[in-house]
Amino acid sequence: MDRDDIWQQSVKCAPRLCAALLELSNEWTPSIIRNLDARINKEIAFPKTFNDPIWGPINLYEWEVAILDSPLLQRLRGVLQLGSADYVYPGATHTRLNHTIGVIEVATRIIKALETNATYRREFGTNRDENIALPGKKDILPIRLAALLHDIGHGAFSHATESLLELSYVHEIPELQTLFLKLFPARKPTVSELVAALLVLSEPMHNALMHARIEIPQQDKLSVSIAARILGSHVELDCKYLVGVISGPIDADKIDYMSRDSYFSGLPIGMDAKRLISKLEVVTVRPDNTRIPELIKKASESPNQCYYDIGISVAGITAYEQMVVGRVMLYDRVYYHHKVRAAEAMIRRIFHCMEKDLNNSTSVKDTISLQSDATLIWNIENNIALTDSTRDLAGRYRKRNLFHRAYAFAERLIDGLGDLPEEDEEDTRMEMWNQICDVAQSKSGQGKLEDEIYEVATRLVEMAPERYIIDEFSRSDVIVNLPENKVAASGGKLLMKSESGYLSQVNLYFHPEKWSEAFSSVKECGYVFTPMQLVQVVCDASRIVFYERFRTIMSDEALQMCKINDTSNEIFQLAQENGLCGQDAVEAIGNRKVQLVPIQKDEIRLPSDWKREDPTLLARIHKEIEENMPIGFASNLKGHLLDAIESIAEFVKTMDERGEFKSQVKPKEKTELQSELIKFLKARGLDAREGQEISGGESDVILPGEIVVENKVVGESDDPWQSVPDAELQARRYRIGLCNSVAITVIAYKPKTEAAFLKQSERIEIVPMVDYENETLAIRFYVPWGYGNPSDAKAS
Amino acid sequence: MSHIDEAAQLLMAAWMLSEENEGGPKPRIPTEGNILDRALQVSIREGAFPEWFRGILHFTDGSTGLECLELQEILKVAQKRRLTTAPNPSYHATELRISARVARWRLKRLNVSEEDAKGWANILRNAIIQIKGGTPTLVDE
Repeated sequence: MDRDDIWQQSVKCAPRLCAALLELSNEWTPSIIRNLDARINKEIAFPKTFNDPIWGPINLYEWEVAILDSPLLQRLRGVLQLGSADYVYPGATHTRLNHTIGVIEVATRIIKALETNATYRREFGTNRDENIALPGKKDILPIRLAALLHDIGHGAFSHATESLLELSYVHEIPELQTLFLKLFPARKPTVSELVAALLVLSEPMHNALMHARIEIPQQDKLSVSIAARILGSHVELDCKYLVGVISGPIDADKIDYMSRDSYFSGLPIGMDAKRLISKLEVVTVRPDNTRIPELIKKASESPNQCYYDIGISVAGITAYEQMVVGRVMLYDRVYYHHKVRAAEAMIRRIFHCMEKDLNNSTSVKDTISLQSDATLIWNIENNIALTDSTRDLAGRYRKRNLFHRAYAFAERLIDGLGDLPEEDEEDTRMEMWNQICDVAQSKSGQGKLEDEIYEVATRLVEMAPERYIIDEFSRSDVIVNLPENKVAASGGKLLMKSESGYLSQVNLYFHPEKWSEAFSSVKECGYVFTPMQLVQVVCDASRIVFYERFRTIMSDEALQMCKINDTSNEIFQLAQENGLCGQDAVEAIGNRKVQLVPIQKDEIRLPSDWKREDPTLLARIHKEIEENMPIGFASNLKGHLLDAIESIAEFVKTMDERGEFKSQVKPKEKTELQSELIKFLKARGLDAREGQEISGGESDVILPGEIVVENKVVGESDDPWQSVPDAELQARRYRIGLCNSVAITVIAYKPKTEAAFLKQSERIEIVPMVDYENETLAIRFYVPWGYGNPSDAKAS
Repeated sequence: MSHIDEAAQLLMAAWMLSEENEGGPKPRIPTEGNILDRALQVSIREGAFPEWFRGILHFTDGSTGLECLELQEILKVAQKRRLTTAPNPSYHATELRISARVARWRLKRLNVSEEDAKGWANILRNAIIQIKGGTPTLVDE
């Protein structure tokens, strides 16, 4: 594979990213050449020795030192391996540079172990196999360089900023991933792996790797070989069984970071790295020693009906299990510690605020720079081009004034469903949790939740200043965090060799990776983070928002996790009196019971002539209501909703009978349609309020149960159902103010054709709410106007 | 919602509805031995699943056989959303937690018809039966 060709294809997929990385490469790689030039006329140097607390003395070749001494690697001296974890584990100050050097050593030990195994199999035993290749310089030295360069794609604060790049290069990165999967078949590369591979493949780096002082065979292919090793691919590899040394199920990267992270955070995980490495083997895959079809086929098609790969002997399974279990512990206690999560969420928030302040998305050059993490934060804190709140946030981070948990949410914490029948409880709980995931999993959904919590919290502060002693409160003080589940990140699957030479996937006594997935998913929890001073108000606001949006309350355990002591309900009563939540919210939160009831078909009341006209009408409406509101309604809302449906349906019918809008003059929304509606509803005894200023907008009509009714008059239409596609958008604006999940729209339209004059039974429609992540019921009623005399209305 | 999220919901909802058995044990979906990986590839070739679902999946020949690179993430998301249980002790299959009712609600949100979902799940099931039945489908990528 040609490096130039790969680069050109990459540029086509990701022009901005490649241009930025080329610029960095141009800046940082010349020093590699200078370092190597300085050695040209000198005696060949012995390897340089580094002392490492984990692995002892580590030797690096001259060219490796030359690359190590360049800004490309030296910048990793300022990037902490564990990002913000040193805020919780003060010893965790080891850097990516320490780790990088360690990976070289571990990679070398893995190669030696495999070489020893291969030699043994070539020279000893009854089943000697002289065809097993021994690793040569052509493979070993590029693997070492891949170890050296594998983390150059990591930005400031390690993993915290990767997601920012995914957003900034939202199209380019997936395209690159697809391209690299084709060019370097292995597994889907992460953002940092892509960046590292691109830096290696860039022309300045490729030229540096061609230096005469680098004594590696086939240097012209070196950059491609290194990139392939970083990505875990077989490309440009003679000894195929070495493919997973840098990136595989048991690779040098994992072994080093687990050993190192455990050591420096002071958290023993009991991983026996030496035994694990010693049990790695070169396995021979033949058609008769496996049942995996693809392996059988590949072996059948290979020279000598076999090929070689890396595997683990059954005697090494315990060590492998230890590694997997240890990794789960590290993730659970270090990487996913709630304070570490809070700190990393703050970092992402700081960068997000910077993007807004500077009106510029985060570039790869912002995260991959020569600034250390500490310098970067300092510079942000003192950058006068940024707003005070962004700088303040950076200052808080630097001084370890971290956000606290104000609200915890998880499926296991959902409460208040005990009165439901068991099956309904399970279904309701699952659907509630999935609706929360629908919103909280995405960045935009998190942003909307944060907006709502902030808005409610601000109003709570105004309402109850004696309860919340707060100096400042800004939007950036609320962070909703539901992380991706990376605990059991799979490094690919591993072949296990039994004593008889039979090959299978690792699955002997129990599957450690599956166990780790189960462990992590049970422990997973979302949080709302905020500064300590704001914890109470953000907690109260979150409880309101989660109820109003998802009809969900969390258990006392959730409050205890956040160390919330004040669980009094007066604030929710006050919130209800001020229109921040419904009475059902007060009861649900206070009584720890969510009263959700479905609407039964027989409870829906529609005009008899409509039901005669379409005998399936009730069933259809009922089904659509149920599908749109699967977890039901608050019990006090249900009655009001049924009344509203009945009354507005009667209104539509009556307007038709009276010929109220048959005139060719377009009725006015407010003074005709709306006023007729209100008059009619009041005559039926409904308390219909009009024209309120709510949440910055003017509603049309509010019915009991805080049901919003919008009125729209449109012109000629031959498809009334499409005449106002976003009619409910306005109603949605009132969600916070009116705390409801039901929106009704009455649409007066002029039928363009006879077919457009809807039958009575077609004048009620349940509309799916497009682009809404929360559960909202939208009901539309259609009222024709301008159709002339009643006798002309053939569809009546 | 990411496509992986949606894929997890679609896969489990479809599987549940195609095996709906009132009052019976919850269905299981095989998650080991690359069976589901291969079956997905076969199903996709037979036109199952919507375009967006097919478009996110990549297949490669891994050390332990054909792998769908996104499948592990899809299964994890399914577990995270509690659509499936934690793996059973043998870890050869995962039990679905999602009920038929919730499956229908989820499909509604994904704008997928129940009929389509069941049809795709049946194609997937047939592929799994064929693969497990000793006549493994060797597929070239």
